Amino acid sequence: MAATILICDNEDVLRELVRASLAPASYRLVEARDGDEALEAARRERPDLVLLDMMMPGRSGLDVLAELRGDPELAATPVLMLTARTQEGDRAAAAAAGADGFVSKPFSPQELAEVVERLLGGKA
Amino acid sequence: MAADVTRGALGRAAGLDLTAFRPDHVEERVRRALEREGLSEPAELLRLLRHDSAARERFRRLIAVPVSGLFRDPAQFDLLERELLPALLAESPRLTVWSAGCADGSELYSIALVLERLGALEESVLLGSDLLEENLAVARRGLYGEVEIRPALRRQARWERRDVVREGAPPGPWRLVLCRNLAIYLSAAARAELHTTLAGALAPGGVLMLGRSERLVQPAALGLVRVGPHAYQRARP
Repeated sequence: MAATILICDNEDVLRELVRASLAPASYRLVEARDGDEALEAARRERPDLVLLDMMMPGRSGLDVLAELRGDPELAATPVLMLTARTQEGDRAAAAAAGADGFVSKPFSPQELAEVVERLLGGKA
Repeated sequence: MAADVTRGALGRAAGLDLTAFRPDHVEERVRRALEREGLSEPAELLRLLRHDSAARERFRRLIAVPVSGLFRDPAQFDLLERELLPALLAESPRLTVWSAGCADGSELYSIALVLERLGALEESVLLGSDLLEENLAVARRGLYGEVEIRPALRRQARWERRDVVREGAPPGPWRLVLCRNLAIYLSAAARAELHTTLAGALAPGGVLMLGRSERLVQPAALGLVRVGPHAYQRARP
């Protein structure tokens, strides 16, 4: 079965970029526009991977990450953080909170596809 | 708009050749400018443009539509990164890239990022040209919301003001030319002229990438062959 990936970003343009980047691999993509939606979708869908934007209005990516890690059902789900250069300081915090990887914005479609593939460990 | 005289006068006041743009595009943008500035007639807009440089800048940007975005239309960048750029780099590692009508520069930086990943950034020449100096200022800053372009990428890009339709191409030849979503705003005559200019600026084997709603009517007449949905390659001798 195709791996399910949850994309959480408040910007439409970025979700479109992620969708297009991952389209060739035919994953099952689920989208969330903010932290609350992301947590709800994660509990419902049990994704194989979560792509989480660091900076979102309301619950930040770090807040969502902490919630995921605190939920026994979701604690082991790999989380890839999407970060901007202006938030490099938050990376250490995200790593400490259990993020599995980072991709800096801007990223090329191919770059994201490769990182996602690595994190899924060959699960297509 | 009442008459072409008004359009000509508006163009002179704004420092833009409005005759190169599609008339319906200009009319729609003038309407929008009137609304935005709270005016009712083009004559009032003309007075405003003559006296208010900030209004002039707003009008110029309305007409020349600096819509862009990093990796806008990702499928095109995917094609570039997976197929077109590796093929070009296999031929020679020194790539010359011209982003024609580069708007805020995000297109050229997207290419720079891909070239860096392919290990070809440092040898490459990257030029962005745009009609509006104010767009180039944004490009030079390289700051898009929360996203900041790294100095290594910024250093590699050059920027210049150029009206491609009237002034032609910068000295090349160019192995990759991107001109996406500029022709759609131009009159048919200016568009044909632009396409001839772009094709002529390509090195043999060079690639021209147009926007995803654009295509060349007769690529062969320009010495080009289609190599992707909106990509064309200049034939080698």
